[in-house]
Amino acid sequence: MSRMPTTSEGSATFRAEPLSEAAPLHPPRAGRRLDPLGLVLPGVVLIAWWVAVHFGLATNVLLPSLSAVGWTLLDWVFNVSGGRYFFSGTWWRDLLGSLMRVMVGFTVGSALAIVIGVLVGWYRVFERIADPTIQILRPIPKTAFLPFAILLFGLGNPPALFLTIYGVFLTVYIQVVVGVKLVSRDLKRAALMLGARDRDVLFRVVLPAALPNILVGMRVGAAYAWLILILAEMLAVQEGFGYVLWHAYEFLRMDVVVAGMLCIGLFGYLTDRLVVIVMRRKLDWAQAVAETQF
Amino acid sequence: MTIEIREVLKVFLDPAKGSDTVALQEVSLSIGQNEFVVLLGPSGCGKTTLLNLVAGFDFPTAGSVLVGGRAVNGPGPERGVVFQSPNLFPWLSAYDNVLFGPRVRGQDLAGGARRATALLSLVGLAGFEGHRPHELSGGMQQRVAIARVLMNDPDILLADEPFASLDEHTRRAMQEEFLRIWEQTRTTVVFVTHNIEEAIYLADRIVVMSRRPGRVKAILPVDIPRPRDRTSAGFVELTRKALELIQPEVTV
Ligand SMILES: Nc1ncnc2c1ncn2[C@@H]1O[C@H](COP(=O)(O)OP(=O)(O)O)[C@@H](O)[C@H]1O
Ligand SMILES: [Mg+2]
Repeated sequence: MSRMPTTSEGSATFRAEPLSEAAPLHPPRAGRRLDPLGLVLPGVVLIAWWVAVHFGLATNVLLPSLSAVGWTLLDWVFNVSGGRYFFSGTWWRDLLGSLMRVMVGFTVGSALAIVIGVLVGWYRVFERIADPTIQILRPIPKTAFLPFAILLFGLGNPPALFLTIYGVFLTVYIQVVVGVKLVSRDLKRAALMLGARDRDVLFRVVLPAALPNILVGMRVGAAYAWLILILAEMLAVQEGFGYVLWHAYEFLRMDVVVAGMLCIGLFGYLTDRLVVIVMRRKLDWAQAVAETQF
Repeated sequence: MTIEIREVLKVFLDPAKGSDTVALQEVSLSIGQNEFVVLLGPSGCGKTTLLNLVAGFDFPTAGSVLVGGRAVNGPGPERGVVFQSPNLFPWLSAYDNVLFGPRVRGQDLAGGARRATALLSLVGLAGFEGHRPHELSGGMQQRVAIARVLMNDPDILLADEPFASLDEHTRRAMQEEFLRIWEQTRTTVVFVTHNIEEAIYLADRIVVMSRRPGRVKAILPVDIPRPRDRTSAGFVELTRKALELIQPEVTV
């Protein structure tokens, strides 16, 4: 099967219309390399930071210097102080712990949200059974479940994972239900008149058509996973970026706090990129229809 | 396959507004095997509603719709529908759109593959098999939609203003193509349009509908042999007749 037409015309009996609509209006955005414009704001922030520290515009406690944060990062990762502080050399442990919890929370929470969200969006009876309860739970801040999670599971991974899974689930769930419900009626009718049974309509039409919304939900869910996990680590776990950040605050080591924020930001960004890569690959058709790129 | 529409009433209820719309009233119509019937009427007169009842997308409030002697109880592959917009699956190539029917019906795909390619060239799209809908023009998409339906060998073809959004030249070319395909496949066709010329060019019989609530106002047999010359005296005479019937039904 050739993917490209051998001629620009259809068969002889039928003159194909010019393919003007087929040609993209804009050439694909030149690569996805670093855009210098994107560096302007971080540059401004760094300069403002340096100026504020240099001219003593903020107290040392509130605003650590760039170099202090740099040394702290070095110590955190490589233990250059020889184990002087509680965080010296613990970076890899913190990173792997946080990363593991985020990934498990995100994967399990999203999977549950997709399964339950599709059932609720597609089958009226599941909607009647599950949706009212979920809607009652939604306005309760997910973090408000932390005390119960700690009492129930004790300290450590279980309460943090529970909270992350729960938070991701609720965030993604809404988007899955909406995605399934917003699939065009005519697309479903087209499948039915072609002989599709209910199950085929769901798996071959509704799921692919709902995928853009589902993946957007997962992208929001990934960010949410970090947010809620950091909070859970502050209170319920003895390791991880959230733990280090909060513990440092208790010692008023704002240089460590900033170092922690930078790490969370960096890895939050990386998990987001991961979802975006999946979106780009799975939604090439939707991007092409809209002539856009994520 | 024959279609029997008996004393059909269709009312749309709007519980929010508490108002009802009577879309069809006392509509009766018999359509014979292999007949090409065109439903002609002003916008909003219930043409789509009537077609949806035959397709099984919706059900009459009263009366009955029989296809091949049996009451319609849902959509099915023996009644292919070509919608006003192509409604292709945007994530599938033209080829996979055409193969959708056999796939969901669990049919042999080896023969299907050859047939899909043949049907795409029948509708003038040889070489475009790998293209996705957004890479095709509106007319090309509608041709894929026709091929997708033909792939199922339907007994009945239901078409709802399929060429309405095309420019005039493309539309005429599509009408010719549609007739050529119909002469090869000889399915029963119910074709909806608001375009008088299109109706006369295509139909064995034109069913003229009144404005809402839609009723059958008149039935015009078209006895001009095909291929029809749109400028012939008979064609023009019929155009005049149809205009006289339709004009009073048009409200602005
Ligand atoms: N699902 C619906 N709910 C309420 N009213 C409808 C619905 N579908 C059609 N109607 C109404 O029924 C009438 C006939 O519509 P339709 O069959 O689409 O007309 P046509 O196809 O001839 O333009 C219109 O007044 C329209 O507003
Ligand atoms: Mg209509």
